[in-house]
Amino acid sequence: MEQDHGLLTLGVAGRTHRAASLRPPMGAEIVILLGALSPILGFPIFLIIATAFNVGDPQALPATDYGIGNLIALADHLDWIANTLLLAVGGTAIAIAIAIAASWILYRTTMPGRRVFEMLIALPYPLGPLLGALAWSELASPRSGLINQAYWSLVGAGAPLVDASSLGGIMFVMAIFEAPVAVFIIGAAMQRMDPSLEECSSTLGASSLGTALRVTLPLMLPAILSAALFLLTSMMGAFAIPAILGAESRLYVVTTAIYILFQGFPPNYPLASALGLVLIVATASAVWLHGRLLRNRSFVVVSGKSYRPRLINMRGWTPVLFAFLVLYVAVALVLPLCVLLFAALQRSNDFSLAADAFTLANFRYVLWDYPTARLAIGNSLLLGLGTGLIGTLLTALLAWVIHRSRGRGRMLLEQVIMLPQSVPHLIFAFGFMWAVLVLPFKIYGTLWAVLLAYVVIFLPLGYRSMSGVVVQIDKALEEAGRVFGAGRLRILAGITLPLLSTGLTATFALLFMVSVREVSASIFLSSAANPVLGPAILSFWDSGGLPQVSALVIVQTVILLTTLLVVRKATGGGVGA
Amino acid sequence: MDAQINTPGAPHSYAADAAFAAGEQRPAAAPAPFIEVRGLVAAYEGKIAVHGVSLSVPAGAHLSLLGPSGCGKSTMLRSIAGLETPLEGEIIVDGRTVFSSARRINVPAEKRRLSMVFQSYAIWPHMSVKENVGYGLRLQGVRGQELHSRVLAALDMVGMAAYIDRPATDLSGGQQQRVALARAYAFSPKAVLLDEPLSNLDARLRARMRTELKDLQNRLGLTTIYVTHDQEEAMAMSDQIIIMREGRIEQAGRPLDIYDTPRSRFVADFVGAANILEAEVTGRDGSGHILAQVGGAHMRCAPRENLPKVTTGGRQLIAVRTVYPQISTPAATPGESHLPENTWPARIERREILGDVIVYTVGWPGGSIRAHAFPSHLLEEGRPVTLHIPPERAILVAADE
Repeated sequence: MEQDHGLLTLGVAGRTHRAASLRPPMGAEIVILLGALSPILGFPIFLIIATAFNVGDPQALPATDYGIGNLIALADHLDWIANTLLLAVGGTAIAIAIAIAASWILYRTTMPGRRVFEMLIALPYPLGPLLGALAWSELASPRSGLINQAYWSLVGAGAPLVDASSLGGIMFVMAIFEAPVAVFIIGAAMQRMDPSLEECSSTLGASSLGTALRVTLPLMLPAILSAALFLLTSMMGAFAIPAILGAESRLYVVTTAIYILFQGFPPNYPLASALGLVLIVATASAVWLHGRLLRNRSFVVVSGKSYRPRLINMRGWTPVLFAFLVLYVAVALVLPLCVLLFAALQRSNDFSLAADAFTLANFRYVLWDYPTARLAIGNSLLLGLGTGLIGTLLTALLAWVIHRSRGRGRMLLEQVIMLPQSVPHLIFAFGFMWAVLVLPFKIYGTLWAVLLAYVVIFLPLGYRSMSGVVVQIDKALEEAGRVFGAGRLRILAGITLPLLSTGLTATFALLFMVSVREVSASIFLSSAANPVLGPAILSFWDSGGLPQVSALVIVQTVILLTTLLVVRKATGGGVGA
Repeated sequence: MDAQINTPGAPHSYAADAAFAAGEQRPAAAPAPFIEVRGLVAAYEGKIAVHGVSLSVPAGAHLSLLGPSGCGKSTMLRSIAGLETPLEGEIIVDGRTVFSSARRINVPAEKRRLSMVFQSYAIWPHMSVKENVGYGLRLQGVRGQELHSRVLAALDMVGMAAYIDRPATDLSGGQQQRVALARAYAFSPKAVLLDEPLSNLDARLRARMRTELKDLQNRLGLTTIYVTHDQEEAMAMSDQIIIMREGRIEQAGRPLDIYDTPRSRFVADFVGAANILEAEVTGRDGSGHILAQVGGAHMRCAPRENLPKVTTGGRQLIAVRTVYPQISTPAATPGESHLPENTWPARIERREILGDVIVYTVGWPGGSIRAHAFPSHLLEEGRPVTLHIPPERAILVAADE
């Protein structure tokens, strides 16, 4: 409560000089950071909004005529918006259901092999959407999917058993690949629950199931809602899975529609921007709701007081639950990997089990022979390193400034940093592309543009990760340094950085992985001269060579798995999303 | 003969109390202050935490800031250390102004040559014990053999010399606390500031560390400011105590003075255990002692020039420490008219055996009063006794706001 005016009348005899005011001024570093970040984050979004209202010449930049014509034109394409919402809501529902069950089993029961399952269940997410999309396209496409072929060989030709290109199919694939994030969020809350709340229910006579439904589930609701909003945001902006699975059935969502509009001749930027605007509003609303939910806690999942959660022995149910987890791991991880490996080893698109149909030529092709593929892999590794280094240092600095300084405007800076999460990657990318075109520097089409876009897009993720680490360091450790004579720089180097080292490594690895597996952000910014892995995989798939594209995805998967293993060894723990 | 159940020790001089009662401030200690704070106003999380507090600490003295949490004592300490910037006031250390709002002086913490022991110890986990203790010394340019021997000497003082090369993560809470002390003393600071250093230790360890800390300070003779909410710590260790409440000084003085002559109900309750009696002042006798009516009892109280603030109900408060009411068991129950002054017939209402002390709740004409007694003679509940309250031990105190 500011009592500035009141204080001056308290009558501290004659003294009205102030060394500091109750509301300290905005620190210099905060002003600089705000000033630097706001245009970089805001300009692309501004361009999208401006173009959405462009009703004049679609190619003109800046627009000549403003109006809401484009938004009205959206009424002709409500199916795109409907598909997006249906997929997002349906996919979230399925994923949350899986996640509640899985995190319950993992963290509240005495299921054998929980630690192993925890690792396996977490894997599909960092490996990326392309793995799932491609694998399930090969498995369940309505005309040539392997599952359908096996089915037909048993019952004869006819309707397919499973259809990955249907709305339900896409929903299912999206759900199983985003579920790990929900498991992480809900699982964290389950592990931190005070067991005495459940014990009290038991002593008053409730059964295990009764306690689970009447005590545990309601207490988990905030985490469940939080996870649901996160998934909703992510699925509304998903690109890779709808692009690969929806192509066959021409099922478009907003992101894939935007991509098609960009490929059009001429490209319809205003309509695309209008679509983008709609999606931004939807995503931003979900993010805002999420922020309100977390209002008393920080964005960061910080481990507070650690409880020993009460583990329940499910007895007769154990084999059923075990089977459930095995099923999930099979469907989300094992099956896709096997299919891709199988396809990568095939000579041609006609898959067969004959001995002479297998070859290693595809790997040689992508790793050596075909320059675009080789270049794409190399570029992605470089981008990963670059994003990791710059992103980690930047977010470390930001986290330190925000959580350690006293100035006003810290929360404002945090809001600005978190801005990119309100914009789906694809949409931010094309806004960024225009921003880059408008700028005098010639970086369009080079890797630098992609790097810059990646750093910006992954800023929220990196910041969340570093914040969690910074916040856990006792402030007194730095204050002690000051008291014993160390200046700010010396404290930073000698005390803060060493304490942050595990967090820095984890954040670096996180940023490395997300940039290697990224598709939507680089699809507009990379070019034929500077290919990047994600878009390259998509264009490979477009041109039809299933074995080759499978091989390329396997290579990507190996890179990501290796990173995970190395980091696990280096930090002695898992890498959180 | 009356059997005395509890006998207080010989009362100390009341001359000082007379001066206090006359409303005079205790005269300033003769040596010049080493640390001086004038009119400090400081904020914490958007609210004023310290409202214009002044204090002075002579060289080599131990001052404790005592008070409940939120009273502003930590903010004061941190302002002196330079970790917080006050809104107004002046801070002078060893003759040098380190902070002045009027003259816009604010010496940063790293230049003040004051060392601090934090409540969480703040031992750096990524350094060894030697690197922790020697941190301040290294920054002063001390290296090599001299560094090693000074670190060793500091660790030796706290009994941790064997741990010199161990990583800091090996240490238990109590050990970390000692290393924090060694670090504070190692670099020969001008003064030492301690922020509730013992509060994270369990009771047994706390009592032991208190004694060790006191010995250490006596040996080194460093000026010390010590923040705590534990009145036993403050009483045992300090030359001077300042009791703070809601950002203001409630009372300042020597431990026993505060104990014997609390100025307000808050202080009487906070330091030691006290009975608070509600009374009407009926007059004053020739020697300045106050006469009061407590319930059905006439009582003679300690002398006082000005009457302190009364409660909202207009009652005067009298504090009687629980160790001072004297309970005796007369051979025969005398009539009230035969009793000397401040002595009444009474009855044991309740008895709590705590082990080291027995707490009796005694019913007397003035109501109920608690008295502490030794466990040597036990009195049953319901037993009729005689209660005597020495007049000098019935102190008029101010009511709280």
